[in-house]
Amino acid sequence: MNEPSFDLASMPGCFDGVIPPLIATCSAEGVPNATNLSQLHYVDASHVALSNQFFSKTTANLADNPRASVLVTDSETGNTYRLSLHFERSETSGALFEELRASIDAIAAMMGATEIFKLRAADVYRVLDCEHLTGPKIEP
Amino acid sequence: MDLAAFIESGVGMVGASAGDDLVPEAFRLWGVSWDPDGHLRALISSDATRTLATVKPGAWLSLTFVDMTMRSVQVKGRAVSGPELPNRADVEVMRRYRTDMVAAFATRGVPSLLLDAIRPLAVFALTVAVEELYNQTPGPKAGARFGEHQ
Repeated sequence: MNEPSFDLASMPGCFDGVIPPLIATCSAEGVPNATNLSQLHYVDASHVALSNQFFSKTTANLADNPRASVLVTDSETGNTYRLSLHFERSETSGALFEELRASIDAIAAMMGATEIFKLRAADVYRVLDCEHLTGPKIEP
Repeated sequence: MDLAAFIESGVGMVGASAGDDLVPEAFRLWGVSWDPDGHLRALISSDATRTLATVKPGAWLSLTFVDMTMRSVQVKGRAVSGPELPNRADVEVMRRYRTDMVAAFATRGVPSLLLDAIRPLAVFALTVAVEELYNQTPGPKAGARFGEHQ
């Protein structure tokens, strides 16, 4: 497999949840869906994960069409990126699930919404592309 | 819900489109306004290059608005026309939105410098005929339809 042309590990400010990311999916009928996220999670050099809490429409869309688009801003640099994603799997147990659940529980406690914020699954996506948008351009 | 008032209160605005290949594109909005025909005129970051290239009249768009308390509304509708250059009124909408957004985010400690770093160099406008409204506020009613528009 080719090495990805992007370096997710060099963008920690994209994964701290300071600036809420957003995800776009699309139904088989061509109707898009835009939803705000609490946080994007780094998995490895070519994968990210999202906490699935209320994503009924997103989940339904991904069942028919695995493509997704995420917009995320690095809170440390102000750089914004658009990630092209391919949904791979949902995890409902294991280390990644527990990591995301701890994060969601922390956010819920901070917002006084522990009854509302319940993690259903850790959704794992392969990153197909990472496009740099606004913010100070940093040349490799 | 008074959507007009809600979306003019400095809320976060995001959206999505998809081309004929069903590949979605996420984008941010930098202001919206209602035109005399009751359509929503959305000002979209010019970096949404797929949207700019693929949206044509009749294409579906999803626009989501969320405030600092996470109260959220999603609008779904169809493009009335293709992308347009912003006009003078749009520039004023953008200016007002930036002011309201900076004030809203300041309540959460987000500096205006960071918001300005996110802002695009340019926008284009899309006019949307709203067909569906959904409650997106986290909780048991998330995803419920508000009812027919107008």
